[in-house]
Amino acid sequence: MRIITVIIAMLSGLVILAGYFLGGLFPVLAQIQVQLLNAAIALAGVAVLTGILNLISVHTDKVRRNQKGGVYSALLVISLIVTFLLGVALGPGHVVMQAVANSVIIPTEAALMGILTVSLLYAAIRLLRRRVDVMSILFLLTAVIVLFGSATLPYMDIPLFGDLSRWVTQVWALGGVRGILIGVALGTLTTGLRVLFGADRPYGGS
Amino acid sequence: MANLIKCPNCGENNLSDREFCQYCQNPLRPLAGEGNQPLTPGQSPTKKNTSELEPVLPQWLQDARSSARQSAGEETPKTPPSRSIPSADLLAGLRAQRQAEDEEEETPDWLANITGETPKPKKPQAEPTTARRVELGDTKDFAQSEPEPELPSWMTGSQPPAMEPDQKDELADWLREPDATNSLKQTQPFPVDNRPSSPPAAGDTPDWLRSMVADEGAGFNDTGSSAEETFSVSDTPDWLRGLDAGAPLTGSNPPAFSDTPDWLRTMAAENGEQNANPPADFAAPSDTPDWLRAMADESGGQNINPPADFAAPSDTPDWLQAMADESGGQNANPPADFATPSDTPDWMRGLGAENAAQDVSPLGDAARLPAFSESGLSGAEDAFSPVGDTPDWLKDLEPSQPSSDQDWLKSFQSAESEPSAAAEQPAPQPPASEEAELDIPSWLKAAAPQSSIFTEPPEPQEAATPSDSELPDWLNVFKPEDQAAPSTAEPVKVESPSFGEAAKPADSDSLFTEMPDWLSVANNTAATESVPAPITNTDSIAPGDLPSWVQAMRPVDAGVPQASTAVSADSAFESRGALAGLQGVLPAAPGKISTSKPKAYSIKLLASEEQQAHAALLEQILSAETSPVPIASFFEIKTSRGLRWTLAFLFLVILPVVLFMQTRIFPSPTGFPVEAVTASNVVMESISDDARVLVIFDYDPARAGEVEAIALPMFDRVMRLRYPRLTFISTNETGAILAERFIHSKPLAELGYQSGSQYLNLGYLPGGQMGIRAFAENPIQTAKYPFQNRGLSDLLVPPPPSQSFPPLEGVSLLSNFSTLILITDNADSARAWIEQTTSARGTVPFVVISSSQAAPMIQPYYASGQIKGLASGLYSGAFFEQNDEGRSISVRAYWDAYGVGMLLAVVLILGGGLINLFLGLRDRKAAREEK
Repeated sequence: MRIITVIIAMLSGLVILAGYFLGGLFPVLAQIQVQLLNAAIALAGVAVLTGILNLISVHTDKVRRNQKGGVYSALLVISLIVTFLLGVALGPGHVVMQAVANSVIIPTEAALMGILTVSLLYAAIRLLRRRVDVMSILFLLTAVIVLFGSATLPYMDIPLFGDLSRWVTQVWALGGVRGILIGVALGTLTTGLRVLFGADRPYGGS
Repeated sequence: MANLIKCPNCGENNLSDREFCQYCQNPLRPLAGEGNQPLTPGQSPTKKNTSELEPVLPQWLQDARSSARQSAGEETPKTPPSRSIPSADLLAGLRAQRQAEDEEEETPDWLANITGETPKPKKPQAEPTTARRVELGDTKDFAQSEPEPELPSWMTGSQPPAMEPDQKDELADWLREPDATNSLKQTQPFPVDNRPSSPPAAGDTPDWLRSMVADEGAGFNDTGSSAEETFSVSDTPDWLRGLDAGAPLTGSNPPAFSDTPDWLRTMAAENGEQNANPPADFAAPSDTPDWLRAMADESGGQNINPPADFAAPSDTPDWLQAMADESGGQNANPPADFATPSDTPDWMRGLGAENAAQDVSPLGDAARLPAFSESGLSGAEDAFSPVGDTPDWLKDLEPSQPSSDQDWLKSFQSAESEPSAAAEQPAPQPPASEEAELDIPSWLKAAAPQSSIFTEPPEPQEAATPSDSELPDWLNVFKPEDQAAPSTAEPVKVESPSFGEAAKPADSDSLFTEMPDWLSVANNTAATESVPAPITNTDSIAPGDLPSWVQAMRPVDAGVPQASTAVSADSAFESRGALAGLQGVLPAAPGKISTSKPKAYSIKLLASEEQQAHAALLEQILSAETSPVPIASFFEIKTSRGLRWTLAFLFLVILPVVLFMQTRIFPSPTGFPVEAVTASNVVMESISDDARVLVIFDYDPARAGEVEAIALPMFDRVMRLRYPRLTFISTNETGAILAERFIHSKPLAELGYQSGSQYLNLGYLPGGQMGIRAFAENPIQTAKYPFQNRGLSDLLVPPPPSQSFPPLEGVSLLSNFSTLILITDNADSARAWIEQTTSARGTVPFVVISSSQAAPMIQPYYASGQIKGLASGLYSGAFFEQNDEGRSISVRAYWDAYGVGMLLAVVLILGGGLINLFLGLRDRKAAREEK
């Protein structure tokens, strides 16, 4: 049974990989690739539904057992069910659904981002008290420069900070991000090859 | 239902009263007794004195023996009728016989009795072991020998044609003779009351008789033609065939005198004087063995003169004639045409003599004697001229004995009324048998007759009267002419009913009226059994004490079974190694295992105080090596709740105030990033009028304010100038609703874009990178149905396909779109879309609008040319607002608050950092001072 799963995984990966490079020469490979990808899309959609059902089950069980935070669990389940029913009944473009999104979802998540801003600022202030070293100082100086470069001063614009901020982001940050992206690409390639060769079996094999 | 017992061998159910399985013939119960235990190597057989068990013999046999001795001579001591015996032994007679033979090495008792020599007082004579085993066997043995419709082949008298003399050897004949005698003896007790009254058919006549008749002429075979058709040669056992074939051998090629055993020569010499005078026309004296002649001479005084026409066969042993002469005084004169059969064993003549002495009916005599012996004793001699079977030393007499088979049978009938003048010795044991016991190995003696009997198939309990063809030849000889008086049982049945009272004829000998109890019980037991019991081999004998020589013959079990039984006491079961699965193969040697209680030793450490102190110190050192050492910290950082509240007050009070006041303290930026300018230019250049533009909404609601502030000025400008048809799709669950929010926000809402006509929301695209790849390969097939504002009533109606809407008209591939615009706040999402659509989108420009957080991660793609433009942050939004001719004010509205917040953050980081740096240095200094 395990060898069957390995064969299926390897064949699927090879077909999709061949569809990338040979899809123009062999349209059959492209068609097979699309079919396999559509099957993966369907499975991912079902996975989302399964996650929603699991969320409801967990929080419903928490409410039934009257555990700590059960009230929030009940609020979550009720909100989820109401939103789902409204979306099914009225449609996602309805004004009510837009109001739900504009009044609940976006402000809530934006507030979380504001809290994150205060937290990051607090951490930056306390950093030098916790650890005084070069890296800490560089981190704070870089943050100050970028912040200064992202905005303007009242009644004046300091081009120096803008250029300095741009230099930091376009040179240092870009160089570091490229290195990260190259590492991600190599890691993705290695992982893909290991899956194709059966060395890694994330689908259940050991 | 009767109790059943399961056979340990085959597993079949049998009646509980059975001893042997009726299917596999194996014992149903384990045989008990010492004699059944296999001999082990090095073990000697147990010596057992079985001679005392001879009185176990049936009464009729004992009486017959005693009467024979009485008639043989007054010198013969009578055998005590009974003797107290400790236990029954099957081979008691054999042992006694062996002892007697040891005493008389040369002359057996029966020979001594025959010749008239005064035998020494001795124990009762034993019988052949094989026959005794059958006679004295368990009652089940007889019950198992059920009668069958057809007689055993070896008993049907089927005789092969006479073999050529050169194909035989005299030794074989000599050896076969006792076998034949044994086989006949086994049948002796049975044919008593089953003797047919009709004359025997010629076809059933034994070969040795027929061969003699063959030379007599056609008149001998006038009645035997039909009977010969039923003759079956193949049914005759080899040993019996060989026995029969021995007769022509002796007739055509007489045995050399030198072949005569010495003991017989000695006997002949001793009996020479008692032998009858040879007839005048005795033509072959040279063929007569010397020992026989000697016996004849020895007993000559006691013999009677043969009749004038008596042509003594040349092969008739003299000792036989001596027997006849010895009993001549008591018998009537033999018939004139009496011709002594050359092949008639002398012991059978003795039976005839016994008959004559007791004056019993010939039928009764014949019941105890073999047929051919009876024929030879009963006065058929006058019509009997053995030519074919007659040895050469009797050939001279053959021409003078022309006769037919009818004559021979008539003479037999006449012999029934006239006592035979033959020897009176009952001679249940022929001399050949005695001799065989001396020269033949015991295994050979016990083999042929016994096995031939036991290997017979089971016979039915009640068998019909056999036909003439089914009867053995030697029994057909005694068959009376009157067929109207059928016999009640078969002559050769080995079954017990032959001994039963029901089967006993009216003219039976008085010997059989005294049937032993054990035989009667056997008869009753066998009669009650409806299912014929299978015939078993020698193992069917009831367990008992076996003689030592029998024990010695038992197979020596030196293999595994013996080992398992020998060490059965050792129940150790090997579970591993080469002996795994065997039990008791490695018994513990006695004496090696100590049975005494092990000595108790104290576990307390005997150490002095100094040693214990050193040990404690060592233990402390070792424990100190592994104990964790706490890291000394300069100071403990406590949560600054005041700082938290200060920061919250600054951001929650100052920024909203600034935002609410809509101040314009902070001026709009003047310098713009290149990528943002490029993005704006690409979008404006690539999107033509009524172009199909794919817009990807992959950002979270938390960053909707930032991202939308960047995208709205650009889209407002493009939509207002190019009026493109937009298609929305998202790989985020909230992307679809954010797209609706985006298109319905200011200033886009003023453009009046309608879903399904100017824009089409395809909704959520699951699958992550796989979904993006599938969409890039076939967008219409992947996003088949749009995300429309369909109510509950429209759920049952299938939605129209996406391709039917104007925003997707003429679009089948990703490259059919004019421009791809990605609005995202996630670098991974941007990377997936950029990488997965590179091969599918072709030369279609790809523009990314991202948040300031994700911009550094997306910047490399712009630098590498994979995307045509990148607009990030409010800084780029401010640029788009400036190019939008002042229609968008979102960036400007946020710009002062944004500026204030940035300055506040920088001040706090710098001020707070410096303060905390000072405080930290102070705490460290204090910590050092404390140390």
